[in-house]
Amino acid sequence: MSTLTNIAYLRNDGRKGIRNVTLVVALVECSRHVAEQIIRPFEEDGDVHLMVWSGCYPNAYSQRIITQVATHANVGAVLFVSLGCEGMNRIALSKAVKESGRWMETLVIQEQGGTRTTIEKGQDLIKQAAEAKNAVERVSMDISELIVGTICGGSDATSGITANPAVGGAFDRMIDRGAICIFEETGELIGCEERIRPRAVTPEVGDAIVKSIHKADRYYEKMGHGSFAPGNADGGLTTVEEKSLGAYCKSGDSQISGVIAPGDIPENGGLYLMDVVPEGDPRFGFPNINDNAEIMELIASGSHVILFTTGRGSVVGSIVSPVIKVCANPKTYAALSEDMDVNAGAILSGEKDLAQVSEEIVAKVESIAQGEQSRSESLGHRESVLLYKGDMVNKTLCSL
Amino acid sequence: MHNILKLHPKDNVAVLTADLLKGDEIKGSSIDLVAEKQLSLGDKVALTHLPKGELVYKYGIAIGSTTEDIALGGWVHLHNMQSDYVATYVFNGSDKQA
Repeated sequence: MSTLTNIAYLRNDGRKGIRNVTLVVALVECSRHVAEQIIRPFEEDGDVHLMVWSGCYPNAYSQRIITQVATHANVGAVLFVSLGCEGMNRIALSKAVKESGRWMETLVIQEQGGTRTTIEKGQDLIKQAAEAKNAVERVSMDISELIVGTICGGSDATSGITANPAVGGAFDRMIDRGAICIFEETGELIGCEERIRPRAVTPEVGDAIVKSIHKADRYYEKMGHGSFAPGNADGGLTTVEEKSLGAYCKSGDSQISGVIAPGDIPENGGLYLMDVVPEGDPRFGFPNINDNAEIMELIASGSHVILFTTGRGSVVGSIVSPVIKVCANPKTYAALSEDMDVNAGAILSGEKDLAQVSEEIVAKVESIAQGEQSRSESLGHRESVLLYKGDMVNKTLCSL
Repeated sequence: MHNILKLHPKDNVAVLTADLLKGDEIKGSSIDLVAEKQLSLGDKVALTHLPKGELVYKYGIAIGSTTEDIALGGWVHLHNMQSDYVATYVFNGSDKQA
């Protein structure tokens, strides 16, 4: 046992959170303004977050992601803001959140008398939510109850040498202590298939990993575009294979326990690969249009914190779970230090070695679990992106 | 001080750990070359003569193939190598485009 914090928030399903967020969800673009105005007076507090599902057509994937984020262990209360006629199934969503035991309410603008009355009602409800969620029991939480996701954004040629292997080392250390760690973006593993296969806990998991990467390759080929942005090339990366090998280092050296779909929450400690590409022919565009779409999926799969490696210098954060920035490039760190939590570029300047930076990342995860704000949190970053996607097979292959 | 990293024994390119000016020395434990042009932290240079069509190895894995002959010590990037999977997209006028 290794205690992470003594002030975790205990939820009815037994899961524990390191934050106690009130989540306001606009269920269609038409209710965004009202939802934004509802949270405005509470923005200083920093723990009332807005999630927007823009679309009017329903989508099974999006509904599952909203359900999983709204019932995430870091969420203490939920307010849905509906226009009234949109396609997202507010009945099913509110039922799922109610069953989780959290405080929840739904406001339907068409039934409340319009914009102003809904905003006033919503602000009253946020105050009620704060009282309800603050009554939740505080308990001790072991690192084996922690879920950590990782993603890279704004990668350059330093990412795969410093920050990504350092996060891999941090993953190995946390997995040894029983944590669940998730890496993702199968489109950024193209070219690494046969190197990954032997790390799978069983041949079946190995096949599932390789299959998911080939699926990503086919998907990108049809879209005519891979996971490679012009800034990656400016940063010295030439091909998707090269970017992939750098990205792959984030997974460390642990055995891979399973392949999950976005929204699947692993039950046992270990390392998991998230397959982000839908089944079948491409529909609804690119699998993940930007880094926050990936972060949202990692959170939907239970991630309490996100380790975000960047070479070029991303500044984003997220709703619900703190994002910790691990900066790969010493020049970027010097230029954007207020946005960065860990300077992995110190490996290139010779000030630190890889193991020291891995230890520093684990220590940062611990202090942030104990309540310290990450840089993106304290700077007010609360980005969230939710997409349409084709069918994702619920495929948790956990053998441990 | 070394300013280059060979990430895997099998590699035929190495990565710069510092910005270099044309004519600067590229120095590693068994590497001693001269920069053919101004180069940046993270750029790749050839550790051997690479004929056209040769696989380029970094991290011990092929990251693509050369599209023209590259001399020992030459800069390896979009102008002389390509992905064997998906074409790389850059802006017109991107500062590293050939």
